[in-house]
Amino acid sequence: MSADLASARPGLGLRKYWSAAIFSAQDAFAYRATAIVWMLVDFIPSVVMILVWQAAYRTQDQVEGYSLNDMVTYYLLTGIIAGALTSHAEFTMNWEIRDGRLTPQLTRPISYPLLVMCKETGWLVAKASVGLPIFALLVFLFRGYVVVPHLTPLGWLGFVLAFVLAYLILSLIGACLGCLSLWTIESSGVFELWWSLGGVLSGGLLPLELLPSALRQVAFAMPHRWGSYFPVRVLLGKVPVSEIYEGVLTQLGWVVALSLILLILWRLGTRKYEGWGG
Amino acid sequence: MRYYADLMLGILRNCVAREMMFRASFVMSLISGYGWSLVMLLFLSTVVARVQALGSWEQRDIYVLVGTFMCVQGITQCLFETNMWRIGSYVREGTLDFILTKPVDSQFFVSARYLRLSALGLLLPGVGLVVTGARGPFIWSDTLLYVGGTLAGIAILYAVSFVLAASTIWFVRAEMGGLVYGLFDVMRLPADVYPKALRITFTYVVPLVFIASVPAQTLQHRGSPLVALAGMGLAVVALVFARAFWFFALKSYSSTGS
Repeated sequence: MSADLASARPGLGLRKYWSAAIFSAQDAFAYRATAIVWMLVDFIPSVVMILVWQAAYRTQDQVEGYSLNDMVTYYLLTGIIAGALTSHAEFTMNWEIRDGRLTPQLTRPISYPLLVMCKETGWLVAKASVGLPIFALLVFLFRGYVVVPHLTPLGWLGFVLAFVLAYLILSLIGACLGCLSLWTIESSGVFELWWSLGGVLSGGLLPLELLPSALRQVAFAMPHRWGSYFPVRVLLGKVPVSEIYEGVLTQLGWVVALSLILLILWRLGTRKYEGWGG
Repeated sequence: MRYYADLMLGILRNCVAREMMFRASFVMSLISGYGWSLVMLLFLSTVVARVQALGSWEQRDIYVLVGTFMCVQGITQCLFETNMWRIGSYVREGTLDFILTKPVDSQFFVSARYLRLSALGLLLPGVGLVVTGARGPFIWSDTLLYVGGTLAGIAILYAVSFVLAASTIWFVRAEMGGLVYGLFDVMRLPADVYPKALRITFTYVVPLVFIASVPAQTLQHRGSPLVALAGMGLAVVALVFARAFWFFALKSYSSTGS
């Protein structure tokens, strides 16, 4: 069955990447307990933040235009969307580079960063699938607070585009970070720093409007907010339709820029790579 | 005892040499260690700045809470984090067989074989935050209870991490140890933000509130000494439970790899 699926579509040179994504998803489904654990890890901070805001809203009704209901919905959506979109290609690349497993990959007729991104996509599909029941349970538990999205068909289309482009942006960021290991061999410290800052700059910690102004300016200049934050705001109905499509174009710009950065980092990095371990 | 002290010294030498091989990553790990705690500090401070107080916790109490957790986290990550991750791979790859045949206590070995020295970097800002937020006057008994409570917090966090990691003997590919990262956010919160059912769970079932929240309240002269002492008692219970759990789990170990 796996061979049938893998040889399905799309054809041409992309088939091997498609197969890699399918095999990765099958592997993740076979060991779904891992996906459940990591989805729980993604959701716990969102629930924790909801609890803090519930305590905070005991003394007031609105914070920067957000009601408690908006805030609860914001964090639930952030939990599922960030969990479904955030791949960690960088850790896979770091591990393979450090252990010398990259060397045989370089002799194969594939683009290694693209292969890793596709494998991560398969894993994300499995993770998002097991995340949906958890999300449904949380929506049930917080049902008194959840705001149901009301979007026009154009708004929904904009959300789908924003979601797909957000995924590409986050995947490309992961692959660019992974390339650093070609120079440093071991870069997990850099990744941890990047993602802890990313938690702030992507709106995972707080809606960006609530950040101190200096930090907010940094957040608006970085690509993080075009990850989960933008699709979540679209779904909450906080972005007018015209601005959704402006945002989608900006996301597209980031995809192109990050693809170029990845290409440059990969070319320069593989020249420097020394093939440790193995 | 001397044997284990010598073993720890050897482990320390080996880990220093290992970390110094990748100096740039060591420095980044040192800095990134601050990341998540400072992120939570930013979150709680922003919320408190907008609503003045979170339950009974004001800004300076939040500093003590986050600072205390940074100290607990720094010490537990230094001593145990890498080891907890490796328990899963020992089970998956079957290398636990070799550990069980070594002339050393197996729980000691799987818990202490690796040190992550860069995590100790959390102690400096952690202590700084505690000193900044601490309320006067200085009371010896409260300070002693705070130190004891924090040590108890370290023991409880180790026990929780170890039980989760050891459960990979049954859930071989589940990476249960990862759940601790999610629970970090729970431990960093003031106890009174939880709804009643969760507060009871995190006090009596999985005693996470004793890791940072209870010691922080004690230092701020707001906690009951009895509750702080109960936390120390719970730490002993948690350690005994973790040891019993390990030997119970080992009965189900069937050497899946190798």
